Amino acid sequence: MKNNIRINELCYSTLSKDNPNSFETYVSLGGYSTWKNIVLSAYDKKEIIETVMKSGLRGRGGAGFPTGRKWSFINQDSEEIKYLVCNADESEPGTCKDRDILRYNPHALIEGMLIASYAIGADTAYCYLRGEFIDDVYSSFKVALDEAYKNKFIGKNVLNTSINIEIHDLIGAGAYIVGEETAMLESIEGKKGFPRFKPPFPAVKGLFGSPTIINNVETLASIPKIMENGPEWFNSVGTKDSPGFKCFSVSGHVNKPGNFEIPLGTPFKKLLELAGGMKNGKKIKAVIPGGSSVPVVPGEVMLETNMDYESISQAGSMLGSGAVIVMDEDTNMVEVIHRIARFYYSESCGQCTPCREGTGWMFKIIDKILCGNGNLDDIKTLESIPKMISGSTICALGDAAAMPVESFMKNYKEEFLKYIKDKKEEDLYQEKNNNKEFVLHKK
Amino acid sequence: MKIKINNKECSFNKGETLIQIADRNGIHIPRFCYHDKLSIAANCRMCLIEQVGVGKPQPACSTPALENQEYFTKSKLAVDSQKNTMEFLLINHPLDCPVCDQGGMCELQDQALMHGRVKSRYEQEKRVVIDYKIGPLIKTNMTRCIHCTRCVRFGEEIAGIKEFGAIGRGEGMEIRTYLTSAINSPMSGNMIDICPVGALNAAPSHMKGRTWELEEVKHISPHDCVGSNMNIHVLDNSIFRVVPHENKKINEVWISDRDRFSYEALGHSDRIKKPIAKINGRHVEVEWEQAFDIIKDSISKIKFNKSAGFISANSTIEEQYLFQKWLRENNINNIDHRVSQNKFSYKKDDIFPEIDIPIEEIENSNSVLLIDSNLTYDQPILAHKVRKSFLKNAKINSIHTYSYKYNFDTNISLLIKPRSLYETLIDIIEYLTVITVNDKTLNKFILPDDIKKNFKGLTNKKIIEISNDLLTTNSLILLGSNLNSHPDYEDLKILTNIISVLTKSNRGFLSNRSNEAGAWLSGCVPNKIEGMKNSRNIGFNVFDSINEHLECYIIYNLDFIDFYHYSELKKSLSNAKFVLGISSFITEEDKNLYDVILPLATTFESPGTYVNIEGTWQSFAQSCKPHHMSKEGWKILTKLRLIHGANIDNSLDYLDILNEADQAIRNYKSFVGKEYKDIKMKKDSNENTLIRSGSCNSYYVDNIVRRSSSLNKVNSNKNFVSVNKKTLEQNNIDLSKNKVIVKQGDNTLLAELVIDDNVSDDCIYIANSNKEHYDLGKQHQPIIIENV
Repeated sequence: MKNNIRINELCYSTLSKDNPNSFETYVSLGGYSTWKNIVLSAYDKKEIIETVMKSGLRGRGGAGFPTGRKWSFINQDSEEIKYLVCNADESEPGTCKDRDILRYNPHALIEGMLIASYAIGADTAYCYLRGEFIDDVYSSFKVALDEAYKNKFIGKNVLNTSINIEIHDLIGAGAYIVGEETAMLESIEGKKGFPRFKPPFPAVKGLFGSPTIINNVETLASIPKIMENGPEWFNSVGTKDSPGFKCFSVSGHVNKPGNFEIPLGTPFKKLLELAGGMKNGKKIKAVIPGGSSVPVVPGEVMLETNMDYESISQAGSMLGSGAVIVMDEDTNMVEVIHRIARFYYSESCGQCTPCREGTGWMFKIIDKILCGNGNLDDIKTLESIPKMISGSTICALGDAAAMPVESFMKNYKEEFLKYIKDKKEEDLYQEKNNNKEFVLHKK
Repeated sequence: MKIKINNKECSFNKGETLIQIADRNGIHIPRFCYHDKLSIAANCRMCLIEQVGVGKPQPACSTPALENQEYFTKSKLAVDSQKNTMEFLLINHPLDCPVCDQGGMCELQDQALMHGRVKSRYEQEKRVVIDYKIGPLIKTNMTRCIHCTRCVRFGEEIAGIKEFGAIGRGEGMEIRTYLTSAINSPMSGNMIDICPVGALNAAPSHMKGRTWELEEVKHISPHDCVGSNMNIHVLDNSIFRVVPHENKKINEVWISDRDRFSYEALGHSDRIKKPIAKINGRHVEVEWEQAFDIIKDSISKIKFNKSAGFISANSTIEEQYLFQKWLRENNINNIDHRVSQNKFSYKKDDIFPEIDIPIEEIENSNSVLLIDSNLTYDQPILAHKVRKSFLKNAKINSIHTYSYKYNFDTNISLLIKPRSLYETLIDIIEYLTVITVNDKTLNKFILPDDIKKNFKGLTNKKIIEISNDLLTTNSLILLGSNLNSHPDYEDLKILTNIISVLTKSNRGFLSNRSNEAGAWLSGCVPNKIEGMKNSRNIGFNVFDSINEHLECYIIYNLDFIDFYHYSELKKSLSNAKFVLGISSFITEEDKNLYDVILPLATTFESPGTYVNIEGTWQSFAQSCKPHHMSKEGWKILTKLRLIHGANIDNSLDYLDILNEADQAIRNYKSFVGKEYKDIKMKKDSNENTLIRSGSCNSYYVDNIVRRSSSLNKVNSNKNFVSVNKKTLEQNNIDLSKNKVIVKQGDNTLLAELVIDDNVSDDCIYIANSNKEHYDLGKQHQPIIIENV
């Protein structure tokens, strides 16, 4: 059965080679041929965008917006300065796919950035890496960037033509919120990472006030192969609305956690198999299928689900960044959401009221429940806060903080109730009804 | 284009946001972070409203209206969203309204009443934020902050000095200054107004009263020359605080800190409580009637027509009108208000503080030339207008004798020695005469020979660039308000006129006084009577009056240190037979030189009218009754006229005076004269001596601000002199020591030394900010610096 799955063909194609991140390895696999071809034959920009559009590639950062359509929002031929930004601030808990692309296949990303820059008419691109990448990930990317410069694939007069493209690498300072595209733009501009309100969208007014396209590492690293092998090669795998390959970072209670690049639409069962199955042969309890900010899905539902955007959405969650967190039957779900809520509490940027105040409130209530001090009112409040936050903030962090709490409350409410010991459930309801509303006393 | 809000059809222009449309149509949308003078932040999420067909609530402040869409501000979705936001805001906001200064005028309180829940569901601990001291004007209580960032944006966008910032993230986000420094902007008080909660409060009125006990009276700023509109809040017949009154043409919604906090002087210990008279060599407090008797008696013993009267240009036009009327009725023409002016070379000097364009037009200038103006601190409102023009890409150039800090960037800034100022202006004229040689509109213009004589060939590229910028349309030249102590002041005004003729640019002669234009119009000058008509008898100007050692001097609303010829004045007064003072404040030392001092109500305690530099007459009412036994100026002056037998109705009231002054003055001949004919240029002889340069500290310019305790705490260290390194080395000063001795004549001053390369060569820069600076000597006079 294992042999049926096409694994690691796109972004991880160098993984099976020695020195996967070296320039020679990449070139030996046909790397930079697309870029050379584009530069030397002065390829039509529109044609590139059309190819990407035809391939059906969707943004791999989490939102899944069609990449080709995003690029088409920009007027490639206008004289205006345009920018490409590569979002390598991979900080969604559970996600580590971009890290391995940067480490083992950085040239694919560089080539993808070059093609994308060319397609949108940008002559400057930024690659924004998360602060924690400063060690081996950054150095691997930096070495690759220098090699590409040395071989005249980037810089002034690329391959002795009149094309100029610069790629700048930047290291963040460790804020989760900078992974939000507009906060990233602020950070690149040297400001505090606060998301901007939209409209105007970055494609109209982005970095330094100029039209800007922001793409995820995996999205950009997929471009060279799509261009090389054609859109049909790409969308021959996967489903109709979710074509192509996608990297999944499987973590949690599995025997062989890791990154797996598989065709979209692969059943979750197979992915679990690739990851070595459940640890100690335990039963699966729950899965967070797309990074900590998406709703949790009960294990039994997940086992029947395929790994593509639509199927997971049907299961009540989102594909997100493809970070699959698997939890076995012994997992304490209150502790899990406690940890997740704490993360969003400390990572909220503090700009919008609902998120700034709400994330803290949710965490404090969960903390109270976990300590055994909770009551039924807390459960009610905890159920209502996510609804109050979601949809009312500038960026999606508010929703990201609200969705897990909401889904945990929905699917595992009885575990929360267990923490409210001492009193019987009926008593609690009785107590609730007695002091239900605050009554204005009239003298 | 049209939309519907709450089923009401509203038209709008493209790009307008929903909150703007709703505000225009009287539809209330709650908000905290939105302020129509600031950029949009969209962070408070209070203004969420429903757009039909869109699932998520939309923030009205940042969402542009879309044609033919329907919006609801009170639908379930909208109201729920607003309620939710309100509940979130109150989670960490302390419910200490009873002890909060903002209580009663708090936007959060109002919104909580309208949109909040009755009871909070939040039971956990609340956030507490450490307060840092940010100066004497603003009291912080950052635990109350709701992070709307209005103050941060105000600093960045309006004040132009970024002092506040948001540090930290999430719940730990704090609004504070960087490195716990103090707020230094001369407009900082406005942050108190725009703060929707009680996080930023006025320090002087902190915990002294409640909003609902206050009475509001409109007033006009008694400082700088723009006449900012403000509201005075009065509690128990004393001023509780001052806030801006919106005037789109002048100060918009802002006022300077000086306007806001100067009222504190009213309670200063220098305040004169009762008339004081010198009886048998001793100063004693007397009753009003007795004081008038003494005045009548004393005047009858002297030749009263050999008197001189000096009035402050901060006095109202009514006072000035009555003052000169009283004196002229007694054949005294030695009347002047230009007490801080150094030299009077031209007897017919008709150039008075005015600006050729309305204040609101300044922001449309394409280039602005500042001539030795510390605009940001001396004229904060005008600086704001210039800043607005700068933000519209105007080029701002500056020729100065000290590199002042501005809240806008300058294109070219030229640091010169004070005595090279007029040479520099002549250089500009020299360049302009070459450039405009073919301009037929200038055919009638003949350049005075005296100026031509000074042409010496151009070398400085900066001057060429400055001149070229002036040649653009809508250019403006602003002559600094501290230049009147400059020996060439009158020549500089004439040269500025010539430049403005050659470049067709607008001029602005700035003043530190609120009613200097009014003083000219009302005839408080030796050569003009009210309404700018020429006087038949021309009297002495202030300089001559002092040096002629007259028999009697009358000083109205002025401290001695307001006079440029301070030491000479004191000598003349001690030799005079009778000295009458009419003033609100007096120092113990100054008192000795007066024979009679009458307690005058301050500008806040009397009604009056000010004329600002653009020529706008603005009247204001009395905001509180005169304190102690002081009386309004118009009453005192009317009484004095009566003593001298003037034929006036006894039942005269303030409005009669206003009408009389109005009729006498309003019909003045146009004062826009660009005189330049009789110019006589002189060269300063002492080329190489060290001279004292400097302006007056903006919180020491008049007798009110210099007594305002909080304002005077803003820059606590005042006793220092600034000199540049080169000059110090030339004068063999030990740079390792931080103290030096400066000498002017026989006077010495031990002061802290600040090595400051913003000072021009051969200058000792002293910003006058305490009495010792005046006792030392005059500005623009030789000075010596020595090691301790």
